[in-house]
Amino acid sequence: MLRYALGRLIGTLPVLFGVTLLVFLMAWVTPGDPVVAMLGEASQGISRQALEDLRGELGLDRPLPVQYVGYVAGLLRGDLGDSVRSRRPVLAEIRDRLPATIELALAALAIAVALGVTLGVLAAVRQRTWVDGAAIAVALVGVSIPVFWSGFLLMMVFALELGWLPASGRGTWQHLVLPAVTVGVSSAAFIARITRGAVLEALAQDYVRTAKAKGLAPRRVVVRHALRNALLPIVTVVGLQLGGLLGGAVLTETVFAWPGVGRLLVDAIVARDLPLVQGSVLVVALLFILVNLAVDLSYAAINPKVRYG
Amino acid sequence: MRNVFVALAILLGASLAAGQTLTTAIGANPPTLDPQLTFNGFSFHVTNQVYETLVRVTPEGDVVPGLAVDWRYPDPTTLRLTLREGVTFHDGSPFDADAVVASLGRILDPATAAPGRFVLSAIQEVRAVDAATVEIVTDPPFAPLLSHLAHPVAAIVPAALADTLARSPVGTGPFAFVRWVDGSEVVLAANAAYWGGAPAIDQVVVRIIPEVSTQIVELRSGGVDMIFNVPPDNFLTLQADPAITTGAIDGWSSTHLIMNVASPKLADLRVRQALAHAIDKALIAEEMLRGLAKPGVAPIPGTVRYAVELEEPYPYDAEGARALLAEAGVSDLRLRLDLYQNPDLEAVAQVLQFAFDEIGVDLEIRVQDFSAYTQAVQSDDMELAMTGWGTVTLDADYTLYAFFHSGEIPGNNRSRWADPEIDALLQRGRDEPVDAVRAEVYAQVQAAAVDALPMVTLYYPRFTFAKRPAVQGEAIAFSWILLDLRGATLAD
Amino acid sequence: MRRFRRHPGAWVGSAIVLTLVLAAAFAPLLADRPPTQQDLRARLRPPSAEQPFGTDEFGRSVFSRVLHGARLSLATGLLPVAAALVLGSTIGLVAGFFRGRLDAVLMRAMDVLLAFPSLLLALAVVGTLGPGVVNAVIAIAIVDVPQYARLVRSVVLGAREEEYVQAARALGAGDGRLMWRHVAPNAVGPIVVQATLGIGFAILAIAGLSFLGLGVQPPVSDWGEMLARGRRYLPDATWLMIFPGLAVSLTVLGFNLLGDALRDALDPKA
Repeated sequence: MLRYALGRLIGTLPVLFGVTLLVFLMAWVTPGDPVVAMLGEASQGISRQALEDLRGELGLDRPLPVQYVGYVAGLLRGDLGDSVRSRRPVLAEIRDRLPATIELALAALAIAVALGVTLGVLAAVRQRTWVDGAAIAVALVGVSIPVFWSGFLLMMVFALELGWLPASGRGTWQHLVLPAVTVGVSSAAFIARITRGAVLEALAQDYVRTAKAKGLAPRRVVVRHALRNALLPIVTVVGLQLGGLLGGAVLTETVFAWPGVGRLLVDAIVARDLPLVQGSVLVVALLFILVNLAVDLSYAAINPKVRYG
Repeated sequence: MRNVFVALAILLGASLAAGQTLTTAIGANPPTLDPQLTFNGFSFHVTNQVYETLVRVTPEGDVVPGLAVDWRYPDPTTLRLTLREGVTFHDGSPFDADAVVASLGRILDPATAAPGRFVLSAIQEVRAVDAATVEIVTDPPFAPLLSHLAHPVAAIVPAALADTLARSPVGTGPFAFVRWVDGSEVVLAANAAYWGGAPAIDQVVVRIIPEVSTQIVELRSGGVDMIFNVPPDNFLTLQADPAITTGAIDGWSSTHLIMNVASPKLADLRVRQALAHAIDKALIAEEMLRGLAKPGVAPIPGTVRYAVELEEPYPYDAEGARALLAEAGVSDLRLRLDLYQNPDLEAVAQVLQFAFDEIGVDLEIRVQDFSAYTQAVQSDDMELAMTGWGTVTLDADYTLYAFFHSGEIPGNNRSRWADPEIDALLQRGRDEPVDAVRAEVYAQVQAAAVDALPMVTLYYPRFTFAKRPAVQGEAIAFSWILLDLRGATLAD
Repeated sequence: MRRFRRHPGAWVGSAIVLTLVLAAAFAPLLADRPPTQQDLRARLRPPSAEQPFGTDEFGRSVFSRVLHGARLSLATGLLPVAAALVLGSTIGLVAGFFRGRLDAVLMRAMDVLLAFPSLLLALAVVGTLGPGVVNAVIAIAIVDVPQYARLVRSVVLGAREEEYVQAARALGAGDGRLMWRHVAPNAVGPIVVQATLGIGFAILAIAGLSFLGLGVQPPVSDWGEMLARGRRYLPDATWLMIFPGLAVSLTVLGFNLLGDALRDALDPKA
């Protein structure tokens, strides 16, 4: 197990290197002048010399390889540079926003798992009946509707018409409901599909057939044996789904004024605040890598069969 | 059961102690709360509650005391201001002449790299005469100086705290900073020691809500008390809602179609006149903007000092426009319109696209982020550009000098209109702090600009807001960034 | 194929996609007026017999715009998938066939791309290249490449050990011939499934970028851009949100149903 974990960790290193390189390279290809972007309309009144001075101050006039070395050295110290617009450290900006995104992602994940597993089990138990079709159809409809549309529909109904929930912002658990449902529903389909497949497979296995033959009620068979076996593939999928959840969160944060990293990133892109764009992308990617690593390792811990390589 | 009562009592006590909270909504997280390090309206909306300027501008456009109580010019290059005494910053440090010198010194210091430095760059020196008197020197004389001192970037900050103001602002204003939950809300509390008396509102919460429609839902459902810059169509709906009070005020803004007179396609005055005749300004103002804008003629709106009322010389006339193009020998004209990301401007651009199509002119719209847009309009191949503009100092010089002085090409003078007589007039307006002279000078510049047509002033948008009727006594002049909550109350 | 035909999702999905293609092809004939024709005196009219989907803030026909939007959505859905398919499959084919160091390098590169959540990577690309429909298409294509590369590589790795491939090699077939004639056909099934689902994702992602103001830019319009503008007129002019939103949802659902049915038909286990 330890060897597997170590190997898996070392395998992540090239990916980490690639990710940092890619994120740094964003600065190479990006058009537009970040200094002008920072000043906005005020750049109109400023002299060319002052612009150059400011560029030097921000280290934007150094050769790119030098900037890269500086960038990596900074990363190792936990320094992601300063936001061009707010002039605060990028890490501080992200740290302020990260909890909101994680909160939304976890809540959405819980909803996605609950909904996905329910639909998947229903579909498997009633395989090739209308229930199967309906369950999968519901999951597919969920994944097909854009979150930036369903979010508004939910807001119109539950916040404006019925007044049950707040329309936007973050604070109480009520604030969390609409955005989490919006994102969660959109991520349930894949989990439903995997659950259905896994439960079907487990149901076909000998020991389940035996249990059936022994006269145990079908429902208990499913719950006891099949679902427990189906848990492993579901856990794997959850790690992968987190990527989709984070993506959905970017859009949903905009709809519900949820103060997360997604909103920060979109604002940074619009303002062409490159250090902030780079930092947000890097941090979320690192988080995603870490979660998948953790899922892999826990998966290996549960099921010794995967420790082949 | 007893626990429930205890909990209730605590809740009740807490809500009583919290007192009146006024919640406003703005569309984006302010980049910083240091007014000297930004030129961003979202920042100013908050910093104007926390910090104060030496003088203020009233809704009538008059300059009145702020942190300075009196002022005079001992000579044309020196402005002497008498400061309000007994004022302290929120951290208890004293506000005095030294604080003013340090604060203005900080924004003028190139090392601060203040985006709004240009507002005050006419200033040569700021010196303390005694604890309650400062002198500001401009050489050559700079007539609009007082208006510039009312600009939000000229707010007096405690320079000793320079490094921390961005995240925890400290000023002399009616509200003191409590906390800033990034991307979510900024919370301010009444400054009990405010020199003008503590405000009636105990707490101001500025919520950050990017979507206008979400802001409206929140306003209607009671999550927010006041919103600003409501788009015209939403405004009309809110106006019909008895549970909401709305207001529309003539602002300092204007929207322009700028034409590069140095471009071979637009050098001929007749072509520019044709474009002007193709635009139905009244239709845009009345239908598109639902009457929440006035059709424009002069380059500055009537709220600005020295603005003149002019007759529209280029009324909507598609026939006439086509004839002018034919007369100029132009056919198959293709033009590119540059603008930056802004939903209102983008909408009007599409209206222009359709209007120009009617006179056989093909318009390509290029929307970019602000920095790319700025580069595009400063390059020589710029053809048309559309921009919103605010005469923030409410003095004609601010806009007319930027738009039409040849020294401002291509930075602010994007039409590249260069006329030595205009340059001379604009300089005279700065040099002579005499009302009658300046009025005459700026009237001439405005009339000349409308004749030579380097830009079409499309309309003057009105500033809109909507609030719950419980909110009373607030003062708003020209723009949401000047929201004054010192006299505001909440009825319920 | 019989399994596919028996699948109800296959029928519904095919019907939706076919309708979409027809709408895109005959949009100018079906709409009573061009999608760009304005009438500022008839702004924001609710749906009526005359204007079945109502009018937008320029008095333009929403019906006409939704119909014409089908063209752009189809194009922006198909283009990135086609590009990613070609590029990704080539990478996968080469990596799987030659293995060794080339394989390792290519797959590590794919791992790097997969290390980003897909929409985040798309945002990073658009954040780098700047907003616009072309950059959005490039972004989605880049996001999709590793999926095809991995898929094709795994099929190739399996196939190259098959007896008939070994036999062809023994008979002196060259690398290129082996790859295209004998190995590549094995990948067609999984790729078709992946691509069908990919079109749905691409349409959704491009609409999302447009919604954030980073995709299609104003003079041109797709459903995402219509939604982005329409949301400004909520809660009053709901028809501006309902019709383009339904169009995106149904289109994506169509491709997802189709892809799902194809997968079931090709996967003997399900």
